[in-house]
Amino acid sequence: MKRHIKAIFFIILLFQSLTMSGCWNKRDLNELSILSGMGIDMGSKADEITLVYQIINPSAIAGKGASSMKTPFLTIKTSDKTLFAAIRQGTRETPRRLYFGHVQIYIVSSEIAEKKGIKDLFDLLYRDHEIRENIKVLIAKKQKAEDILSTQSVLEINGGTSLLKHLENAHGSEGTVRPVEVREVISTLMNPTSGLVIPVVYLSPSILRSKLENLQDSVQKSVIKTTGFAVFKKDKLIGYLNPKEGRALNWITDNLIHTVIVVPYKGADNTVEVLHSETEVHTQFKQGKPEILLDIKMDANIGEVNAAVDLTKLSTIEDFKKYTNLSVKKDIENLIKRVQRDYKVDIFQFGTTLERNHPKEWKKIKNNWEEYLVDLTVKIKVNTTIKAVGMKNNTFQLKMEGR
Amino acid sequence: MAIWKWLHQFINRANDEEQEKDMVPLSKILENNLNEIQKDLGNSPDIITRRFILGREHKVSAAIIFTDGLVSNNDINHFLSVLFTEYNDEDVSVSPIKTIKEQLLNIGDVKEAEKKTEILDEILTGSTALFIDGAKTALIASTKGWETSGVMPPENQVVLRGPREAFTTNIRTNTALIRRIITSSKLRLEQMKIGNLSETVIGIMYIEGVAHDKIVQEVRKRIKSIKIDGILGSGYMEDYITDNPWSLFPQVMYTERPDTAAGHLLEGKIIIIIDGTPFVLSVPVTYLMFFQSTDDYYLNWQLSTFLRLLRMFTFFISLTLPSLYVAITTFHQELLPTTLLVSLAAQREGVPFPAFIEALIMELTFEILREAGVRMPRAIGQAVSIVGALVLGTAAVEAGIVSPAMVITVSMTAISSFTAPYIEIVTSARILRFILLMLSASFGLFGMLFGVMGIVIHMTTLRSFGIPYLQGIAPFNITDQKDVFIRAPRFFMNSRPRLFAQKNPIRQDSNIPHPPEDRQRRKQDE
Repeated sequence: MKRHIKAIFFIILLFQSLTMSGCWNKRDLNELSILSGMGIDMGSKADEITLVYQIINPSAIAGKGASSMKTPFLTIKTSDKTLFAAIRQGTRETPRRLYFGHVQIYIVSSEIAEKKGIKDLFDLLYRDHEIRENIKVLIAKKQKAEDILSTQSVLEINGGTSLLKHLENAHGSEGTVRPVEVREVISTLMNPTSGLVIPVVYLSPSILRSKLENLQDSVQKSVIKTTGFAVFKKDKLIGYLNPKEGRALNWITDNLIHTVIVVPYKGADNTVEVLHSETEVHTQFKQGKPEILLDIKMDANIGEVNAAVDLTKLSTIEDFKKYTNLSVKKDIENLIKRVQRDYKVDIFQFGTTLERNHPKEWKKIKNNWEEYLVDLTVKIKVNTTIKAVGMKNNTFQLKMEGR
Repeated sequence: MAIWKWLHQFINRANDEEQEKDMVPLSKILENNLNEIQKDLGNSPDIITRRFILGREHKVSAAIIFTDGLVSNNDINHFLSVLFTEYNDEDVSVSPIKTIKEQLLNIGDVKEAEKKTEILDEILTGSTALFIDGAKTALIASTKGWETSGVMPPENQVVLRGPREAFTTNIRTNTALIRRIITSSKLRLEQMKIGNLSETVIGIMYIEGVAHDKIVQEVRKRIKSIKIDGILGSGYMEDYITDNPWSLFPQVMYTERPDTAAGHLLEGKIIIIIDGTPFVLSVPVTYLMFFQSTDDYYLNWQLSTFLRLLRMFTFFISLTLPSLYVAITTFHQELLPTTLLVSLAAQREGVPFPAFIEALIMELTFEILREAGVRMPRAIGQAVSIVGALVLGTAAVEAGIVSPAMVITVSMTAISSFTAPYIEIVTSARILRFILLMLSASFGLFGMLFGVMGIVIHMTTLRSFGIPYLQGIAPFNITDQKDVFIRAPRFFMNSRPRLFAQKNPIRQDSNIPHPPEDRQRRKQDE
């Protein structure tokens, strides 16, 4: 019996620990302000930054209460000297605890990136347990992050998700941008020889902030657009790449998934759709000078033929191949030239490849890498395989011309 | 403890008295015997004494005693008519008892009895006792024949393609049902009576040479050690013979299907049949046996395997889904995709209770509904389900007391628990679910994981008649895997489960060609 009393006492103690502990970090879903996007702007005072966050309003997005009359998210901004301090100020404005586990987008305004640099804006994201490291980073071109974060989109009403999908869509189909995550930003910043690029978004036109009419009109008065990349030297923004250059950059860094290439042939513009692209970067040293060879292999599909050509002939296909290769090669060469002339930053990550392939030689040139980069020889080899010509063989234009 | 001791003493004293009575022999005088017996049975009106005179020349008074309702009236009538018309008392050298027993009685099971207790037992189980004046023994004729329900289709363990027969409340019918399936002479039946007032007949069946001797012995020992006044059903036995009666997990399997029982016998298990119960117990059991439906062996093996895995999965669901939901939505929101999180958050908008209380309310409601549905007569049972589904489900959501997601969670849990082929396994999940719910509400997934770990540790400590409870997983054995998670095709099942039938593990000739030889080729050979 005594033994039983002990056992019962022990069980009671165990249950005490259950009930007394009181679920200290329990947070019910309706006690949370779920954030979907964050942004950084210049503060009103010189040493301050302004943090903008987008708080999801769940009942407007899902469930019975979902209606266009309610705003799908709130945009709040707070200013302080550090990021964390600004975040804590946010509690002054919301009834619910801010929850960062689902932040998907982190927008930095180009103003702060140009003037102050971005290095002070990332430690918290890396250190905090709640914030993910795979948040996608964006640059707001010549605008405030607030402008972009407060714009409502019609199709995907959840703000952060909308921007994220937007970015992924542009990356997946056209390849002019590519999502860059927080951890990539940090690891690139840690490497002094490589240059950072961050995809750029802007609101077009920038004057009009989102209003309800914007959601009711089929012609949207303000639209968020992605446009290429912002180029960083160290942590300062020094310039931009346009969409076409962005695509060339994705080709070099092997980040291209699909894209379409306009190929002029026989007096008409035709389209080739890239289905798969793979880039190998080969390196070698000639007389102490590094040389790069880009070997690009693409699978493509003839998507649109406006020239009156006979596609059933092998020579036509060969021509398509040749012009596609030329077009890609030209794009890439232009980009490399521009970077060598204007930016002088290794955004292609050639340095890391060199380091991996030739660690000894790399040590010698590492400190002067910028000088080597400016007149680096880059040979480009593009090899396209045309896999298909679509659902039709010859274009109807061939018959139009009576051939 | 004192109470226990006192009880033990009391029971022992009662046994001693029984034994004293047991010694009383019959007297030679008929009237004395009849009076004694009537007195012992308290002059009960359903004990019928029929006196008559036997013979023509040397007339002897005689009587039969039987219990009305337990005997077959046809048998009695026939018995009496034979005695009246064909009894021949010419030869005086032979005692009348012997004459009747050897020449006249056309009933299969006849024996002589001397002791009063034995006679009483027989009368009370449906036999007829014949007393003859001047004889020191009575003749016991088995005239059992009471009203029973016949062999009915099973009600609880329904299968798609198996036989439609279930055990009855009569032990003899039940043993016959099994003997009809396994006709081997190796099939053993041992019978004993348990319960000093009910004297319930208990049968132990096993196949000699297949079942493990030590397990048989252990079963016998455990059943014999039961000292109880009466056994009214199989549940009475369970607490006495299980290894760990404190555990929530079932350690005895019930079946109402003779084919399932026969299947168990063939695997080397031992079945216990209790008179008066249409459920037969089967020991030893392992945890994974409870996921093996009888249908698994009748349907094709691919489907059986899929369904078995599904049942295991749904058991896990029914055990953990509410706690998983509570843990994730209150502690680990980052585990959800954003869209789902937003949708769940929208549903919880305006719900006044924390998710844990919400889950508790819904789970309790479901348990109440379930209990109400079981206890109610079938006609009212439907009303219960309508009230439950409509009023509680829909109205609670519309009133904003619970979120729709919680209703989905609880319904999913409930439906999952209905897939179990043996209802006993669900009982453990029904209770453990609440414990896990509390753990996950306090510590999130960590708490839930600790709970599940605790359950697994507990299960590994369990044994059923010496067989580890998690046999198949915990003592992992590759040859047993053919019938644990998957149900392999028949031609791979060459051996019996290893620990159950160590004596005779070979089940079939492993050289059977499969698939059968090509018909075309055979024709050519001819």
